Amino acid sequence: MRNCRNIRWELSAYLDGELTPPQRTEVEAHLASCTHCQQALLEMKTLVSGVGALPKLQPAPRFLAEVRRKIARAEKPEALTWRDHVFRPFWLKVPLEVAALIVIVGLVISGELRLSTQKIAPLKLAKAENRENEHGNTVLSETRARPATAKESKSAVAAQAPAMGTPGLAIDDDKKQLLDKSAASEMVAGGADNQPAVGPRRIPVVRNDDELSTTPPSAPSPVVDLIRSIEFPRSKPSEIVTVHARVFDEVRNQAQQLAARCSGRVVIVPQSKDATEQTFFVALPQEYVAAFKLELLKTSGSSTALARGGIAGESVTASAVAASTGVLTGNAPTNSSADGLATFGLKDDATAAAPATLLEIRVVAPAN
Amino acid sequence: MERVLNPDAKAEASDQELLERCRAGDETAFDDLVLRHQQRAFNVAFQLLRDHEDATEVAQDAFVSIYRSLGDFRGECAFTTWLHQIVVNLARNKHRWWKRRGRQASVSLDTTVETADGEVPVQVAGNTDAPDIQAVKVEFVELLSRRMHELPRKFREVLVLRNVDNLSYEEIAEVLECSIGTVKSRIARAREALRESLKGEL
Repeated sequence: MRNCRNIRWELSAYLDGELTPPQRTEVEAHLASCTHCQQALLEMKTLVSGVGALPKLQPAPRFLAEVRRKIARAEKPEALTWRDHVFRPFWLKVPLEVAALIVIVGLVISGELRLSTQKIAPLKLAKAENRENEHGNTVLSETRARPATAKESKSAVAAQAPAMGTPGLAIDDDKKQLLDKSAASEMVAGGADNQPAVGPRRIPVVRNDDELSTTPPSAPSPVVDLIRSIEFPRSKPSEIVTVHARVFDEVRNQAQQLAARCSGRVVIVPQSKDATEQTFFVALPQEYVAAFKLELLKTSGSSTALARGGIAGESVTASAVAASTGVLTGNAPTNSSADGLATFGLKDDATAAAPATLLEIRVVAPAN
Repeated sequence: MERVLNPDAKAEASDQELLERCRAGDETAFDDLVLRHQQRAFNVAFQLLRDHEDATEVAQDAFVSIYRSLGDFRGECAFTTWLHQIVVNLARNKHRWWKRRGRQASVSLDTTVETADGEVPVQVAGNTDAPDIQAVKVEFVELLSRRMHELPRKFREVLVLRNVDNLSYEEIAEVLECSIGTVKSRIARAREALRESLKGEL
């Protein structure tokens, strides 16, 4: 005999007459002796009869006509309107339109990003170019980030030279130039291969942005501060002049006198005690560079130095040197380029706006 | 003018014969099929959906579907089985459509129906009880109908096919394309679930 739980599951089919004869006999035998299952059967009958008594509703009177209308419409599809083309089928159109929208938005955003980065880079380069053009000179900036100031925009800022045994300064040149400085100056001193130690080429601009800086930030040295304080409006790339003399101060004093006469000036930088050569800088108008060098080498008491040292930098024609030298010595011919000017002092105003050249004067003790 | 046919007048023609005539191009045979089975289709749809408008649409669409597929019907099963299959499937689709839109169907038997003749009360067929008994019965049946609608779809389908349309287990198995054993156990579980939901009401 099966238990009540199993019989209960059979009561439904028993009521529907869907049990096999043996199953029906078994259920009836259990029901005869089980009042709980009899009660369950009664409830089941009520339930089933209730479901069977659910109202039979009449369909709409025009049910058939509507079926016919739908069939006719399906057989003869109406002409598609623009709405059908635009909006149907939704299940296809909506996802496609959403996907298209996403693609368009993505393209716009990526385009904007690309555009903005393209705008930023040229802007930075343009800034640097502007400064460069304004100076006629490339600025090798400090690695420190700092806002551009008017003063700074006029300044040629030099990076401190790397340790080469001879501490010194290089202005308006790149690092490679700095590294080659000693060798270049020696070559200049050799005289035979007179070639510009410093070309007019421009160095890559080092941007002021911290994140773009490739060199590690370092504390500013006194030399850098000094150089930064010097204003060389539209100065040209520096030239290196090697003077063979025993006394550095004499050469420097001579240079100061000469520079004072051509509205130039001498800049003294701290020197290392271990240095085999001593260096100072002279800023002066470009047109007097050749004459200045000539005079300096002459007055330094070493005529051989002129022959050996020569002039580093641009080639100067003999007549131009002569004319400038005349002005420098106060014997300027009246038809010279400095026509009407007896002394350099009168040239101050005229040359104030002229491009200045920075000369690096190296004083080296004679070998003998 | 719409033809009004009495289904009993065509009783002599079996569903199979009417289908044959339909395939032969006799449009009136199809009309006879619709008129004979429209109430069955509509009531099954209504008990599955409990919405008059949706039930009408589902029942009509079922006949449209049959009309289009007349050539494919090979007579492996009874016409009513085929009709029930289509109605149940269309009702499932409609139910899914509701669920996607969060719609809850709940229709009282007191509701009115919009017809070509204006708004009329829902017609309930075959009710011959005394008015007081009738009132109690209507109340219980209304409750039963609501509870049935709250059952899972599979339970509701077997209960409607079995007790609303009096299909045998074998016919239900054909309509739902499952085994008779499945139908048997599903009906038993559906009734148990319904009884549980009506505890105290029986």
